Amino acid sequence: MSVVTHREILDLMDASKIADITNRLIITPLLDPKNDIGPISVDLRLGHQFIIFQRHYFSHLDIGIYESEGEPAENYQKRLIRRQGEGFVIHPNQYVIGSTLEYIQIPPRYMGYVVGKSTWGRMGLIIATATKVDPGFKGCITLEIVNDGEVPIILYPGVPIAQIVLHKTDGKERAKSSYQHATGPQFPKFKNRTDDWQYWTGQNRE
Amino acid sequence: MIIAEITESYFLEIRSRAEALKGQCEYLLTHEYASEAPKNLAKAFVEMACFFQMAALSIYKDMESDLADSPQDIEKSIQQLRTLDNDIALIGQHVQFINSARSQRVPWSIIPAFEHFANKILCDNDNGLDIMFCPLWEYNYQIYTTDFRGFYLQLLQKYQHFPGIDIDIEKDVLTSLKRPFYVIRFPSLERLNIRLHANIGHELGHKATSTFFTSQRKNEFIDSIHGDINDFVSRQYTQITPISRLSILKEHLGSSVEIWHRALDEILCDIVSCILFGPAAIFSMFDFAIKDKLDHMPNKDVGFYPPWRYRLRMAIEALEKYCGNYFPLKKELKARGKSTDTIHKVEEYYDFIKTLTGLPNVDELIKHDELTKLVYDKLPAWIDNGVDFLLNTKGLRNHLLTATELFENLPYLIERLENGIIPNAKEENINCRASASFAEIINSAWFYWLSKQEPVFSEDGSFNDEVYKARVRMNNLSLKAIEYSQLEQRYREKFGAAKEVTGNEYL
Repeated sequence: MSVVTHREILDLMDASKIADITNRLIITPLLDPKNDIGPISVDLRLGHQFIIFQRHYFSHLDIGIYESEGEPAENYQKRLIRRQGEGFVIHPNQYVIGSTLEYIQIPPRYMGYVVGKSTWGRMGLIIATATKVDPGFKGCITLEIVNDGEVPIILYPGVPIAQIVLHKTDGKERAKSSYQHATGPQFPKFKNRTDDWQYWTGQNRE
Repeated sequence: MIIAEITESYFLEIRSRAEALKGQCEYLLTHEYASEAPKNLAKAFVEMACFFQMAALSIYKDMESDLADSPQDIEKSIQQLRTLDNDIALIGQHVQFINSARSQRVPWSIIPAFEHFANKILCDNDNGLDIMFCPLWEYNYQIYTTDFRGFYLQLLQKYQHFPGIDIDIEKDVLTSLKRPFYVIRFPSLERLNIRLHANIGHELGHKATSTFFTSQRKNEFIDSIHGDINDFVSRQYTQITPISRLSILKEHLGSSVEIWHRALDEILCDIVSCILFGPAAIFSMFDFAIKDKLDHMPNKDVGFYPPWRYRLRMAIEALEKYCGNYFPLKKELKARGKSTDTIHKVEEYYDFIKTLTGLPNVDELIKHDELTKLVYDKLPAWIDNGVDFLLNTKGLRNHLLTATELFENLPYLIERLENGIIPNAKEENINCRASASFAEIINSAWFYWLSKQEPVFSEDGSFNDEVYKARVRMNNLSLKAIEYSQLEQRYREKFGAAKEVTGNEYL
């Protein structure tokens, strides 16, 4: 599984080389391609939406009963929006869900890893905890952001915050993610696997 | 003594209401908004509330010194307090605009694009204007064509000369409202329904047409119809006195002006929507019209609103006359995208609307009321006159969406939607990309949706949930496309065109 380089990234985005749009790499909008596309990665900017936990509304999260009792995920979490120039303060040990500004399509036969940028890392910011992006994924990539540092950090939408590294896969597969076509950060979705979760958590013992 | 207590108590109530206004607006300022407009309005209301408190105090002090004077003086001061109280209550009503404009209640990602677009269309000078979009629980689109800033200024100036008030209202009270301020509302239930938002073109039209209806044009219309109405009255009312006949003639002329004004205004606004959004305007109008009866008599009971069938007919005529040959659709549309039915289905839908609006039902209905028929017979010439005004005097020719322009990028945008990709641009390669316009994105959503393949019902007769999901996806992708398009436009204005990527950067 090789890493895709600068020139290959450009080729993957070229309609004259890949006529079928579903096989093309799409990262849009690429506002500053000259700087955003690195030798083996593409910079991704921070989107405008954030999801925070409403800790004062619940005692804990239990994946066994989460959403299964008809409670919408919005009861646990709140979506916030920051416009251009408006900061989002993330405090030490705080966890927030964000997303990339860019909408991305990973071609089949490729996959990606989202990693933080070292500048942010040096400030204690962890960008993504679930970093794998499947072949065929389309959407804004959800970022699980944690301030692991000692001081509050202000995040600004539009600022490059992560980077995606693409790899070529051996076979041709397409993702069937429940987060497909997301245009912002997504609330966790456990519903698709409710039976499985409930089996393992003992919720449907009979 | 009783008077003193009553006035004191009334003063306290007024001051409390002003304080409540201030408090509510300060609270609203702690929330998120998709643009600065609602915050600017809230800031202005906070200052206005303080100003109202000063004015109340000034009136009360004046009253206190008058208490020994005549009851007339006291009555005058109470009247002033009452006027002030009503003004506070009025501004209190306007707080609902701010409250409803909070980010979660609007299609937040496209509000800046909406505002920018509306500004471009409506502003007659370089100073610009502010527009606030907020939802309406009534199922309707709506524009307030009055400049709110101008209205507030006039309202506050009443108190400027009161003793103890030494304030420059524009500088010290309306500080946050620097430009004319307008409010456009959309049906709350349709917040995320991007296709329907082409109807905003119609609302922008109301502002554009407001200067068309001058007293000179009104008199021209009256002159043109006076003889016909006189004949009609003479025929209808043979047994009445000349004075009664004159009175009936006057009444009929008044009604004819109302029918003319309302019909022409609505139709011209529909045409503004066609100018700005092309076929999407017709489709979204029809989507709205289908919820209503297509034919009704445009009488007082319905506020003289013209019937939908007639409106759509006129809009289609204008689209074909002024915007070029959209239909039959160009074959290039089929060239991209997997759906070979795109052309067929969209054309079929357009033809259906055209056929439906061509049916004579509405003409038969109008024929039954001679006065209405007289007015409607004169409308086509006035529509031409009005469109000429809009295109040339109001400068809408610069915003005319022609078929040639629209179809240049549309196939690429439809192809993206078909494949679950945001239709924000035509991207050929890293150095060759064209950002899509607001109108192109809304049209791509319409064309994609009309040519969709999924049936609404499954084979077993149940509702096909996938269609609903596809609709949600289309809305999300299109809303995001408008956000991206605006974001990119602003970025380019700041930093210029993107630097070319050669591919040799890291060799």
